[in-house]
Amino acid sequence: MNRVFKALADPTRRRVLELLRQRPMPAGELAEHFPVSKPTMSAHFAVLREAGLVESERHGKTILYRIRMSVLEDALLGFAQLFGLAQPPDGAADREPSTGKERTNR
Amino acid sequence: MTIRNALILAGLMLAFAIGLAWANNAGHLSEETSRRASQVLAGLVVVYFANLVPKSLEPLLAGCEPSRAQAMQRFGGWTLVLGGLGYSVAWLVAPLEVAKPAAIAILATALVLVVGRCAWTVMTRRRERPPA
Repeated sequence: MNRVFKALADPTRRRVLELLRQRPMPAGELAEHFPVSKPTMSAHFAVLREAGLVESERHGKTILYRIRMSVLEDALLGFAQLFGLAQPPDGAADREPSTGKERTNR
Repeated sequence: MTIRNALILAGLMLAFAIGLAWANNAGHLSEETSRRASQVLAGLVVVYFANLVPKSLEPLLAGCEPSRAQAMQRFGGWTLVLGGLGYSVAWLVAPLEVAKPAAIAILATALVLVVGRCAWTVMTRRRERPPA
């Protein structure tokens, strides 16, 4: 459940889930909705996949993403959108998403 | 759900039912309370399984247009969760003579809606298929 909360804490990932609620979409089409780099979007997708909120399917050269949320997770997404769960400051969407495996420079 | 988890859930439900029967026989609980508690639990079991419906209806909807299949999965999950909650709440708060018909009506309505929409989705899928 921690992974789900972590995934829902980021506004970019919440927006991805909202888009996927409408219909399954290829990764490229999803990425067009966000002013972030491809690696950043890939990291966001990875967090969502690890939380079990989306699944991906390869069709030739494209990767199709589809939502895979239980009713409870769907409701949590709604609450998170409504109350802005852990909304980071402006511009945070441009940064790399936290995967919990960051390295520290020593 | 794994077989192990299913067995644990079944064991918990049986233990709860046996506990209620024992409490009723021992005079700790009235028959009404015991009956209401077991029906509330039944409603919560429906909620538990309905919660997972959006993740598990895929085989039935294979071949459907992905967006329609996804809409059906979400509709089915939400409707059954609300139906299960309604069933539990009806048994929890309604007078006993009203609780049973109200709870059954709520859950039956949810089931009819889900089965109806699912059948419609599957039937229209067949019509959408291009001729061979």
